[in-house]
Amino acid sequence: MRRFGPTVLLSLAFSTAYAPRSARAQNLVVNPDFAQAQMIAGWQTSASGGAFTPYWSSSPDHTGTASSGSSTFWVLSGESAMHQCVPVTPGTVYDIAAWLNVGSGSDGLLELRWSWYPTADCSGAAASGGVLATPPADDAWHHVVAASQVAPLGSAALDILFDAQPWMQANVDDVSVACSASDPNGPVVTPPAAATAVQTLCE
Amino acid sequence: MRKSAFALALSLAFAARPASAAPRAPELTVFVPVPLTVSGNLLSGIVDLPLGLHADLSIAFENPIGLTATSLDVSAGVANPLDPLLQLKLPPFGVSLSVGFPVIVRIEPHPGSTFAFQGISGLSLHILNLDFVPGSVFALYKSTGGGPFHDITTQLRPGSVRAGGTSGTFSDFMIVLDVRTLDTIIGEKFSLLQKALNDNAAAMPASVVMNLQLRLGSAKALWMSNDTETAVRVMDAFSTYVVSQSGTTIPDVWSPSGPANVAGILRAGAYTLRFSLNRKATGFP
Repeated sequence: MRRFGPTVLLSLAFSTAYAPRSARAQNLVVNPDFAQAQMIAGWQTSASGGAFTPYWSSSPDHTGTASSGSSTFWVLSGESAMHQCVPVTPGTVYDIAAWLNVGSGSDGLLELRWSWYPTADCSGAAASGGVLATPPADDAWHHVVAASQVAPLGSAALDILFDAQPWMQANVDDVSVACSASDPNGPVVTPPAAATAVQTLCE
Repeated sequence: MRKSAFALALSLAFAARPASAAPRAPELTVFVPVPLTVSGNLLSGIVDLPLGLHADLSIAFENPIGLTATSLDVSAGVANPLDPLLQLKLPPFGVSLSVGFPVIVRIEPHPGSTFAFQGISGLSLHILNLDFVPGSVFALYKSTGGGPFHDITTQLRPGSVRAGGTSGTFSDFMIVLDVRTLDTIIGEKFSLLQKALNDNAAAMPASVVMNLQLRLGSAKALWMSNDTETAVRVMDAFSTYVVSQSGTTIPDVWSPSGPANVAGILRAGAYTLRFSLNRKATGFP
C-alpha cells in the first residue's frame, strides 16, 4: 500500500469505498472547458470595485476550439472572481488543475484557490485549502496543477476559485478536479472485512 | 481554430446627452447592422462584411440596468482609407487605417431604450483578418459624437486586444496602425485625460477635482522625469480613487437622457494612459 503516495486512513461507508472504478478519473467540475452553451454556466461569478464579472469568450481557447472558448478575466480595477463547489470524498487524493493564459502587460494577480468544506454547498468556514500563484504574463497557456491534494477528514466539498486583481487580462480554460493521477491502479480500499477503517486512494 | 486571428477589446463608457450630438457629416462608409444576443452582463454579435472581413464582437458591462439584445444598435462598415472626412479625424501623422481590417464599428443607444449602466463597459472584437506579431503597432481608436479618433487601447494580445474607452452619444471604433513613439502617445493621453477632467470638473466637488488633479499631475511629472513605473502606480491610484468616489461625488451612470458618466470617462482615459505608461515601463509589446 505504501507505493500509493500519501496515505489517509478514514472511516468510510462500504458503498463509498467501493465506488465504481470507472468514475475515478472523472472530472468533477461542471462545464470545465466553458463549452456548455458557450457560457460559463455552472460557475458562480462576482466582481467588485469596478471590475467586470468573468465572461465567456471564443478566443483564446486552450485547444484552439473557438466554439468552446474560455472564461475571460478583465480586471482594470477592483476584483473579479469565479468559483464552483464540487463534491469530494474524505481521504481521496485529488489533482486540481487549470489552464491559464495571462496577457502580456498584466501585472496583477490571477490565483487559483481551493478550499475544503465540511458542507456539501461550500457554506460556512473552510477547513483548509491552498493557492497557486499567477503564471507568467506571456499570452501563452500554462497548466497550473495542485497535485495530490488529500480531502481532509470531514470534508464534503471542494470550492475551486479563480480570483483576479488589477491589472489583469487573462483567460481560464479546461479546469479539472479529479482523482489524482499519481496512482495508475486507481482507488484502492482495504477489504471491508479487514477493518472498518478503509483507505481510499485514487491514482 | 482561427489561427490567423487576433482579437481586440476595448472598454468604453457612453456619455449621456445624445440629443446634443454634433451633426454627423456625410460619410462614405455603408453600415450594416450587427445582430446581438445577451447573456448576463454581456452582449455578443458577429461582424460579417464583404471581402471576408469577420470579427466576433462582445460588449461587457460593469453593472447594466435593463440590458437586452436591443439595448444598443451596433453596426459595422468597410471604411474607405481615402475618405477625407475619416482622414481628418485621425492624427495628422503616424496613424493609418488598418489595411487588414478596415472596418468601423458603430455603437449607438437604441432610440427609446431605457437601458442604462453604471461604471464602464467593455467591447471586444475577435478579428480574423489580422495577424498579430510581437511589438505590434495596432491600436484601437474611438471617435465620440463624430469627433476625432483617439487611442483607447488597454491591451494588445495575440487573439485579443483590450482598450479603455471614453464617452459619446455614439461611438465609432476601428483598428489603426499607430507608428508614433510611445512618448507621443502618452503625452496625447495625458492631454486628453486632463481635458476630460477639466470638462467635467463642474460635476464634482472641488476637493475631488483637486485630488484627481494632484494625482494626474504627479503621474505626468513622474513620466517626464522617466520614472514611468511609478507613474503607472499613480495612475492605478487615480483609477481606484475614481471608483471609490463613483456614485457619491462622481456621477457614474450612463443613461440615454441622464447626465454624463464622468467616472466612466475618467476611468477609461486613465486605463488607456496606464496601458501606454506600462508599455513604456516594462517594454511589453
